[in-house]
Amino acid sequence: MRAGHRHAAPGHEEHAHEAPERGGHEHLSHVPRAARPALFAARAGVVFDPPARADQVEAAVAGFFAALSDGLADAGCTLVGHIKGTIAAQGDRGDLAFHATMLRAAPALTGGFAGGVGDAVFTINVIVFGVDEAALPAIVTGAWSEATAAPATWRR
Amino acid sequence: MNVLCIAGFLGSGKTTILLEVARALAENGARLAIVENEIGEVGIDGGYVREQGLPVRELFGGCICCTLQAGLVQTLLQVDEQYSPDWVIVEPTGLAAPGDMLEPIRHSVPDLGTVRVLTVVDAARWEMLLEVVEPLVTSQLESADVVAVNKVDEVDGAALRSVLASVRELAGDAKVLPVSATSGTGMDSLLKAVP
Repeated sequence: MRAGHRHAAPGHEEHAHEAPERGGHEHLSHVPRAARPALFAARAGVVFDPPARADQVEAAVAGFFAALSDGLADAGCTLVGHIKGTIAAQGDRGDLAFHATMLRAAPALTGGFAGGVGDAVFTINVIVFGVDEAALPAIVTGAWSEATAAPATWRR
Repeated sequence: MNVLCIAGFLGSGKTTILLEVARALAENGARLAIVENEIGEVGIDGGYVREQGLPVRELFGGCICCTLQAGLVQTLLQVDEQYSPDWVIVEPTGLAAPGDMLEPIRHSVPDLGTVRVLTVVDAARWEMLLEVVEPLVTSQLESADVVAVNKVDEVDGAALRSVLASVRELAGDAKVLPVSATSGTGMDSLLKAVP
Protein backbone atom coordinates (compact mmCIF):
# COMPACT_ATOMS: atom_id res chain seq x y z
CA MET A 1 0.00 0.00 0.00
CA ARG A 2 1.30 3.43 -0.84
CA ALA A 3 -0.70 5.40 1.71
CA GLY A 4 1.56 7.35 3.97
CA HIS A 5 4.60 6.94 1.73
CA ARG A 6 4.58 10.27 -0.02
CA HIS A 7 7.89 11.39 1.41
CA ALA A 8 11.16 11.61 -0.45
CA ALA A 9 14.54 10.89 0.95
CA PRO A 10 16.18 13.93 2.53
CA GLY A 11 17.78 16.08 -0.08
CA HIS A 12 16.00 14.23 -2.82
CA GLU A 13 12.96 16.43 -3.22
CA GLU A 14 14.41 18.53 -6.00
CA HIS A 15 12.72 18.32 -9.33
CA ALA A 16 12.29 20.49 -12.36
CA HIS A 17 9.18 21.01 -14.42
CA GLU A 18 9.53 21.80 -18.07
CA ALA A 19 6.21 22.89 -19.52
CA PRO A 20 6.73 24.45 -22.91
CA GLU A 21 4.01 26.68 -24.27
CA ARG A 22 3.36 24.30 -27.09
CA GLY A 23 2.06 21.06 -25.76
CA GLY A 24 2.55 17.70 -26.95
CA HIS A 25 2.40 15.15 -29.54
CA GLU A 26 1.71 17.28 -32.60
CA HIS A 27 5.42 17.97 -32.43
CA LEU A 28 6.38 14.29 -32.38
CA SER A 29 7.99 14.43 -35.76
CA HIS A 30 9.47 10.97 -35.36
CA VAL A 31 6.01 9.40 -35.02
CA PRO A 32 4.24 8.72 -38.34
CA ARG A 33 1.22 10.99 -38.62
CA ALA A 34 -1.16 8.04 -38.92
CA ALA A 35 0.17 6.66 -35.66
CA ARG A 36 -0.01 9.87 -33.61
CA PRO A 37 -2.20 9.56 -30.56
CA ALA A 38 -4.75 11.78 -28.89
CA LEU A 39 -3.69 13.04 -25.49
CA PHE A 40 -5.51 14.42 -22.49
CA ALA A 41 -3.70 15.19 -19.25
CA ALA A 42 -5.27 17.22 -16.47
CA ARG A 43 -5.85 17.65 -12.79
CA ALA A 44 -9.15 18.23 -11.06
CA GLY A 45 -10.15 19.08 -7.56
CA VAL A 46 -12.87 16.60 -6.58
CA VAL A 47 -15.13 16.53 -3.56
CA PHE A 48 -16.66 13.40 -2.07
CA ASP A 49 -19.58 14.61 0.05
CA PRO A 50 -20.09 12.85 2.36
CA PRO A 51 -16.49 11.64 2.64
CA ALA A 52 -15.97 8.31 0.87
CA ARG A 53 -14.45 5.13 2.21
CA ALA A 54 -11.54 3.62 0.29
CA ASP A 55 -13.80 1.00 -1.31
CA GLN A 56 -16.18 3.74 -2.44
CA VAL A 57 -13.32 5.64 -4.08
CA GLU A 58 -12.26 2.42 -5.79
CA ALA A 59 -15.84 1.95 -7.00
CA ALA A 60 -15.84 5.50 -8.33
CA VAL A 61 -12.65 4.80 -10.27
CA ALA A 62 -14.10 1.56 -11.64
CA GLY A 63 -17.27 3.36 -12.70
CA PHE A 64 -15.29 6.16 -14.28
CA PHE A 65 -13.14 3.71 -16.18
CA ALA A 66 -16.18 1.79 -17.45
CA ALA A 67 -17.82 4.99 -18.65
CA LEU A 68 -14.56 6.18 -20.18
CA SER A 69 -14.14 2.86 -21.98
CA ASP A 70 -17.60 3.19 -23.48
CA GLY A 71 -16.93 6.75 -24.57
CA LEU A 72 -13.58 5.91 -26.12
CA ALA A 73 -14.95 2.85 -27.92
CA ASP A 74 -17.82 4.93 -29.31
CA ALA A 75 -15.27 7.51 -30.48
CA GLY A 76 -13.35 4.93 -32.51
CA CYS A 77 -10.46 4.09 -30.19
CA THR A 78 -8.19 1.54 -31.88
CA LEU A 79 -5.52 1.27 -29.21
CA VAL A 80 -4.99 2.45 -25.66
CA GLY A 81 -1.53 3.82 -25.04
CA HIS A 82 -2.32 4.16 -21.41
CA ILE A 83 -4.98 5.46 -19.10
CA LYS A 84 -3.47 6.23 -15.74
CA GLY A 85 -4.10 8.51 -12.86
CA THR A 86 -4.25 9.07 -9.15
CA ILE A 87 -6.72 10.27 -6.57
CA ALA A 88 -4.82 11.90 -3.75
CA ALA A 89 -6.65 12.79 -0.56
CA GLN A 90 -6.00 16.25 0.81
CA GLY A 91 -3.81 16.38 3.88
CA ASP A 92 -1.37 13.65 2.91
CA ARG A 93 -3.93 10.98 3.83
CA GLY A 94 -3.03 8.59 1.07
CA ASP A 95 -3.71 8.10 -2.59
CA LEU A 96 -5.07 5.57 -5.03
CA ALA A 97 -3.30 5.05 -8.36
CA PHE A 98 -4.91 3.32 -11.31
CA HIS A 99 -3.57 2.18 -14.64
CA ALA A 100 -4.97 0.41 -17.68
CA THR A 101 -3.88 -0.39 -21.21
CA MET A 102 -7.08 -2.05 -22.45
CA LEU A 103 -10.62 -0.75 -22.66
CA ARG A 104 -13.12 -2.49 -20.40
CA ALA A 105 -10.45 -4.40 -18.51
CA ALA A 106 -10.38 -3.67 -14.81
CA PRO A 107 -7.70 -1.06 -14.11
CA ALA A 108 -4.81 -2.04 -11.86
CA LEU A 109 -5.13 -0.26 -8.52
CA THR A 110 -2.43 0.49 -5.97
CA GLY A 111 -2.42 2.54 -2.82
CA GLY A 112 -5.00 3.35 -0.21
CA PHE A 113 -6.27 5.92 2.23
CA ALA A 114 -6.05 6.59 5.92
CA GLY A 115 -9.69 7.33 6.76
CA GLY A 116 -12.42 8.88 4.65
CA VAL A 117 -11.77 10.90 1.52
CA GLY A 118 -13.45 14.30 1.21
CA ASP A 119 -11.46 16.81 -0.82
CA ALA A 120 -9.04 15.19 -3.22
CA VAL A 121 -6.96 15.86 -6.29
CA PHE A 122 -7.71 13.72 -9.31
CA THR A 123 -4.89 13.45 -11.87
CA ILE A 124 -5.55 11.77 -15.19
CA ASN A 125 -3.37 11.03 -18.21
CA VAL A 126 -5.01 9.45 -21.25
CA ILE A 127 -3.18 8.56 -24.46
CA VAL A 128 -5.26 6.75 -27.05
CA PHE A 129 -5.17 6.10 -30.78
CA GLY A 130 -7.98 6.47 -33.30
CA VAL A 131 -9.80 9.20 -31.37
CA ASP A 132 -10.16 12.84 -32.42
CA GLU A 133 -8.14 14.76 -29.86
CA ALA A 134 -10.61 17.63 -29.87
CA ALA A 135 -13.27 15.24 -28.57
CA LEU A 136 -11.11 13.69 -25.86
CA PRO A 137 -11.49 16.24 -23.03
CA ALA A 138 -15.27 15.98 -23.12
CA ILE A 139 -15.11 12.19 -23.19
CA VAL A 140 -12.90 12.10 -20.10
CA THR A 141 -14.62 14.78 -18.06
CA GLY A 142 -18.02 13.48 -19.13
CA ALA A 143 -17.13 9.97 -17.96
CA TRP A 144 -16.18 11.30 -14.53
CA SER A 145 -19.43 13.27 -14.25
CA GLU A 146 -21.50 10.36 -15.48
CA ALA A 147 -19.95 7.71 -13.26
CA THR A 148 -19.36 9.51 -9.97
CA ALA A 149 -21.22 11.79 -7.63
CA ALA A 150 -18.07 13.75 -6.86
CA PRO A 151 -18.07 17.19 -8.53
CA ALA A 152 -14.82 17.97 -10.30
CA THR A 153 -13.13 21.28 -11.02
CA TRP A 154 -10.85 20.63 -13.97
CA ARG A 155 -7.53 22.35 -14.50
CA ARG A 156 -5.35 21.71 -17.52
CA MET B 1 28.22 9.48 -15.08
CA ASN B 2 26.64 6.59 -16.93
CA VAL B 3 23.21 6.74 -18.54
CA LEU B 4 20.65 3.98 -18.84
CA CYS B 5 17.62 4.74 -20.98
CA ILE B 6 14.59 2.56 -20.28
CA ALA B 7 12.43 2.89 -23.38
CA GLY B 8 9.34 1.10 -24.64
CA PHE B 9 5.78 1.73 -25.68
CA LEU B 10 3.17 3.18 -23.35
CA GLY B 11 2.02 0.73 -20.71
CA SER B 12 4.80 -1.77 -21.32
CA GLY B 13 6.01 -1.70 -17.72
CA LYS B 14 8.94 0.71 -17.97
CA THR B 15 8.42 2.31 -14.57
CA THR B 16 8.09 -1.03 -12.77
CA ILE B 17 11.29 -2.30 -14.34
CA LEU B 18 13.03 1.02 -13.68
CA LEU B 19 12.36 0.63 -9.98
CA GLU B 20 13.75 -2.91 -9.98
CA VAL B 21 16.88 -1.85 -11.84
CA ALA B 22 17.30 1.13 -9.53
CA ARG B 23 16.92 -1.06 -6.47
CA ALA B 24 19.55 -3.50 -7.76
CA LEU B 25 22.00 -0.70 -8.59
CA ALA B 26 21.48 0.94 -5.22
CA GLU B 27 22.10 -2.37 -3.44
CA ASN B 28 25.45 -2.49 -5.22
CA GLY B 29 26.31 0.92 -3.85
CA ALA B 30 25.66 3.02 -6.94
CA ARG B 31 24.52 6.63 -6.59
CA LEU B 32 21.44 7.12 -8.72
CA ALA B 33 19.31 9.83 -10.24
CA ILE B 34 16.17 9.39 -12.30
CA VAL B 35 14.88 11.50 -15.19
CA GLU B 36 11.20 11.02 -15.99
CA ASN B 37 9.66 12.38 -19.19
CA GLU B 38 5.92 12.48 -19.75
CA ILE B 39 4.30 13.75 -22.87
CA GLY B 40 1.39 15.32 -21.06
CA GLU B 41 1.79 18.45 -19.02
CA VAL B 42 0.69 16.63 -15.91
CA GLY B 43 3.08 13.97 -14.63
CA ILE B 44 2.24 10.83 -12.71
CA ASP B 45 5.23 8.48 -12.84
CA GLY B 46 7.65 11.00 -11.37
CA GLY B 47 5.68 11.26 -8.16
CA TYR B 48 5.47 7.51 -7.85
CA VAL B 49 9.21 7.03 -8.38
CA ARG B 50 9.96 9.85 -5.93
CA GLU B 51 7.85 8.05 -3.33
CA GLN B 52 10.39 5.23 -3.49
CA GLY B 53 13.04 7.63 -2.20
CA LEU B 54 14.85 8.26 -5.48
CA PRO B 55 15.95 11.70 -6.69
CA VAL B 56 13.79 12.53 -9.68
CA ARG B 57 13.82 15.24 -12.34
CA GLU B 58 10.75 15.52 -14.52
CA LEU B 59 10.36 16.82 -18.05
CA PHE B 60 6.77 17.43 -19.08
CA GLY B 61 4.85 18.46 -22.12
CA GLY B 62 6.93 16.95 -24.89
CA CYS B 63 9.25 14.16 -25.85
CA ILE B 64 12.93 14.14 -24.95
CA CYS B 65 13.81 12.47 -28.22
CA CYS B 66 12.54 15.46 -30.21
CA THR B 67 11.00 18.64 -28.72
CA LEU B 68 12.71 18.36 -25.34
CA GLN B 69 16.14 17.15 -26.49
CA ALA B 70 17.80 20.32 -25.22
CA GLY B 71 15.91 20.03 -21.96
CA LEU B 72 17.21 16.50 -21.49
CA VAL B 73 20.82 17.52 -22.00
CA GLN B 74 20.41 20.46 -19.63
CA THR B 75 18.78 18.22 -17.05
CA LEU B 76 21.56 15.65 -17.27
CA LEU B 77 24.16 18.37 -16.76
CA GLN B 78 22.27 19.68 -13.72
CA VAL B 79 21.83 16.20 -12.28
CA ASP B 80 25.52 15.47 -12.73
CA GLU B 81 26.46 18.69 -10.95
CA GLN B 82 23.98 18.25 -8.11
CA TYR B 83 24.15 14.54 -7.35
CA SER B 84 27.32 13.26 -9.07
CA PRO B 85 25.49 10.02 -9.75
CA ASP B 86 27.14 6.85 -10.97
CA TRP B 87 24.06 6.15 -13.06
CA VAL B 88 21.24 8.28 -14.37
CA ILE B 89 18.23 6.26 -15.43
CA VAL B 90 16.17 8.06 -18.07
CA GLU B 91 12.58 7.00 -18.71
CA PRO B 92 11.36 8.68 -21.89
CA THR B 93 7.72 8.78 -22.92
CA GLY B 94 6.28 5.65 -24.44
CA LEU B 95 6.26 7.43 -27.78
CA ALA B 96 9.98 8.16 -27.85
CA ALA B 97 12.47 6.74 -30.31
CA PRO B 98 15.44 6.33 -27.95
CA GLY B 99 17.98 6.35 -30.75
CA ASP B 100 17.14 10.00 -31.42
CA MET B 101 18.24 11.10 -27.96
CA LEU B 102 21.54 9.24 -27.84
CA GLU B 103 23.53 11.52 -30.13
CA PRO B 104 22.70 14.75 -28.28
CA ILE B 105 23.64 13.09 -25.01
CA ARG B 106 26.92 11.76 -26.32
CA HIS B 107 27.84 15.09 -27.90
CA SER B 108 26.78 17.43 -25.12
CA VAL B 109 27.44 15.68 -21.81
CA PRO B 110 31.14 15.79 -20.87
CA ASP B 111 32.89 12.90 -19.17
CA LEU B 112 30.11 10.57 -20.13
CA GLY B 113 30.66 6.92 -19.35
CA THR B 114 28.48 4.10 -20.61
CA VAL B 115 25.20 4.80 -22.39
CA ARG B 116 22.86 1.82 -22.55
CA VAL B 117 19.32 1.35 -23.84
CA LEU B 118 16.91 -1.15 -22.33
CA THR B 119 13.70 -1.42 -24.32
CA VAL B 120 10.64 -2.93 -22.67
CA VAL B 121 8.12 -4.78 -24.83
CA ASP B 122 4.57 -5.64 -23.79
CA ALA B 123 4.20 -9.30 -24.73
CA ALA B 124 0.45 -9.24 -24.14
CA ARG B 125 -0.16 -6.46 -26.68
CA TRP B 126 2.68 -7.02 -29.12
CA GLU B 127 0.53 -8.15 -32.05
CA MET B 128 -1.87 -5.25 -31.51
CA LEU B 129 0.98 -2.77 -31.37
CA LEU B 130 2.44 -4.06 -34.60
CA GLU B 131 -0.94 -3.50 -36.25
CA VAL B 132 -1.34 0.12 -35.12
CA VAL B 133 2.11 1.57 -34.37
CA GLU B 134 4.63 -0.75 -36.00
CA PRO B 135 7.12 1.96 -37.10
CA LEU B 136 7.26 3.34 -33.59
CA VAL B 137 7.75 0.06 -31.72
CA THR B 138 10.26 -1.03 -34.33
CA SER B 139 12.26 2.16 -33.82
CA GLN B 140 12.25 1.50 -30.08
CA LEU B 141 13.93 -1.85 -30.68
CA GLU B 142 16.52 -0.67 -33.18
CA SER B 143 18.72 1.12 -30.67
CA ALA B 144 18.30 -1.34 -27.81
CA ASP B 145 21.20 -3.09 -26.13
CA VAL B 146 18.82 -5.24 -24.13
CA VAL B 147 15.13 -5.97 -24.72
CA ALA B 148 12.90 -7.07 -21.86
CA VAL B 149 9.83 -8.86 -23.21
CA ASN B 150 7.59 -8.11 -20.24
CA LYS B 151 4.27 -9.56 -19.02
CA VAL B 152 5.19 -13.09 -20.11
CA ASP B 153 2.82 -14.36 -17.43
CA GLU B 154 -0.08 -12.86 -19.40
CA VAL B 155 0.43 -14.92 -22.57
CA ASP B 156 0.50 -18.65 -23.29
CA GLY B 157 3.57 -20.52 -24.44
CA ALA B 158 2.81 -20.41 -28.16
CA ALA B 159 2.06 -16.70 -28.08
CA LEU B 160 5.25 -16.01 -26.15
CA ARG B 161 7.36 -17.95 -28.65
CA SER B 162 5.78 -15.94 -31.45
CA VAL B 163 6.46 -12.63 -29.70
CA LEU B 164 10.04 -13.56 -28.90
CA ALA B 165 10.70 -14.59 -32.50
CA SER B 166 9.19 -11.35 -33.78
CA VAL B 167 11.15 -9.20 -31.33
CA ARG B 168 14.43 -11.02 -32.02
CA GLU B 169 13.94 -10.43 -35.72
CA LEU B 170 13.56 -6.68 -35.15
CA ALA B 171 16.06 -6.19 -32.34
CA GLY B 172 19.27 -6.96 -34.18
CA ASP B 173 22.10 -7.87 -31.84
CA ALA B 174 20.28 -6.89 -28.67
CA LYS B 175 19.92 -9.44 -25.93
CA VAL B 176 16.23 -10.41 -25.69
CA LEU B 177 15.01 -11.61 -22.31
CA PRO B 178 11.50 -12.76 -21.33
CA VAL B 179 10.44 -11.32 -17.97
CA SER B 180 7.52 -10.52 -15.75
CA ALA B 181 8.32 -7.47 -13.68
CA THR B 182 5.34 -8.04 -11.41
CA SER B 183 5.92 -11.75 -10.66
CA GLY B 184 9.71 -11.54 -10.85
CA THR B 185 10.07 -14.14 -13.60
CA GLY B 186 13.32 -13.60 -15.47
CA MET B 187 14.21 -10.47 -13.52
CA ASP B 188 17.47 -11.88 -12.15
CA SER B 189 18.72 -12.43 -15.69
CA LEU B 190 17.59 -8.97 -16.73
CA LEU B 191 19.30 -7.29 -13.80
CA LYS B 192 22.53 -9.07 -14.69
CA ALA B 193 22.23 -7.93 -18.31
CA VAL B 194 21.68 -4.26 -17.51
CA PRO B 195 23.37 -1.93 -17.08
